[in-house]
Amino acid sequence: MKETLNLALRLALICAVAALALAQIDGLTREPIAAAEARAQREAVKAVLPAFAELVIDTLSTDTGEVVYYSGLQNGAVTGCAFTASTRLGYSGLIEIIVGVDPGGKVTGVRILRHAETPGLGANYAAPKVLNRFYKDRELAGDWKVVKDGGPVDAITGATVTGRAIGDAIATGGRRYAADRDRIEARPAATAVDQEK
Amino acid sequence: MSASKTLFRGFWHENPIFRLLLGLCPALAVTTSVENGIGMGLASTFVLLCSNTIVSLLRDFIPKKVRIPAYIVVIASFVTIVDLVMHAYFFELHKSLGLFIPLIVVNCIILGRAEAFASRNPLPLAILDGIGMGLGFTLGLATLGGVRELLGSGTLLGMSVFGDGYPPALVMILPPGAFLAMGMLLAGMNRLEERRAIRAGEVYSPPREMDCGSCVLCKLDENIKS
Repeated sequence: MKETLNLALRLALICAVAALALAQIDGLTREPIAAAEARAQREAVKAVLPAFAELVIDTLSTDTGEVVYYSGLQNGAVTGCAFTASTRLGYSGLIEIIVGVDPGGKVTGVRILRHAETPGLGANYAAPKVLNRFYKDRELAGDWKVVKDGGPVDAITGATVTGRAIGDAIATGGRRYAADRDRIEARPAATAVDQEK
Repeated sequence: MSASKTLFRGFWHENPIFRLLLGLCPALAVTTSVENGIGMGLASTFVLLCSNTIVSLLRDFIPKKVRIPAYIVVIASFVTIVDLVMHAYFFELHKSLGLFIPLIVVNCIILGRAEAFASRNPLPLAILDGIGMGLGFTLGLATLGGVRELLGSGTLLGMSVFGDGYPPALVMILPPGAFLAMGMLLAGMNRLEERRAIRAGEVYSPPREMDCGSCVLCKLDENIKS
């Protein structure tokens, strides 16, 4: 009995010290982590939108959860709007992308935020050079089917599944954007939260 | 055991990946490029160094019967610290290794060194062992990553080596390629050792660690009785 108690006490002591140390580190890294996440997100938004001076973030709640729209403004006029979209039609797990669209409805940029596609095949879409060819000069509301499915989009040879998935994500996100557009543009001016230099 | 031997044996004679064959899960999973290999290796080295230090310091405090849970708590805490710090300050690397960092907890090499070395040796030796084994592990991961990246993408550290005319052997950066590269490297290492033994007039036999009968973790019951 005495031995068991001794074992338990010593183990508990080790756990307590570990817990204290972890609490400290968590407190120290919480802010840098949030800052790094926010910076990565801002980089992604910048990459898909035309030049802007001011970024407005709108969070709309819909039936399927919250959707965030990032609108770039220059001299009070909207230069473009970015939003994230995702699909499970890929080869392996979730694909999350961010899409930028100008007020005329033309896609200004697409970047992949998260994917687990096959390296060397589907993962090649993560390169901006490859993606540029994918969305260049296309209307957001247009047809995003790949050539193999009778659409106009040229997928990478050998990676049709991933191409189809990205097309699906863009189209789905586009439909949602079209439905939400009135609500985004009707926002009160006071929500302009993020000033860019 | 001498200090220099403790430090350097991890590089070749007791290399964690190629001689001890420990920690193969991360070794095979993350080594699609040199960069990933080095990142994973250094993260493991840090954890190994810290856990060896603490385990050696506490070797008289931790009761034998609960030593495995105690080691795991120590290791898991340091892994969590690495995960948080990496997330905060090495965001890109964390993104590509993110999934595998928590798995360092179950990396055999770390528990193996705690059990087989740090818990039986004074602090200075335990630190040297942690650094040596960690860097040996990093070296192994980088080599494996180098072979796979070179053949599978035609690049090294992201720079093109063979030019655009080289059709990459895609299989090398897919999971089967990890086993192929590993097998070839093991065979090459055994061949070198065999030649060295013949030249020295010895009889060569593969390292006994390649035989599961000598793995320390299988002898837990024995240790508790003693």
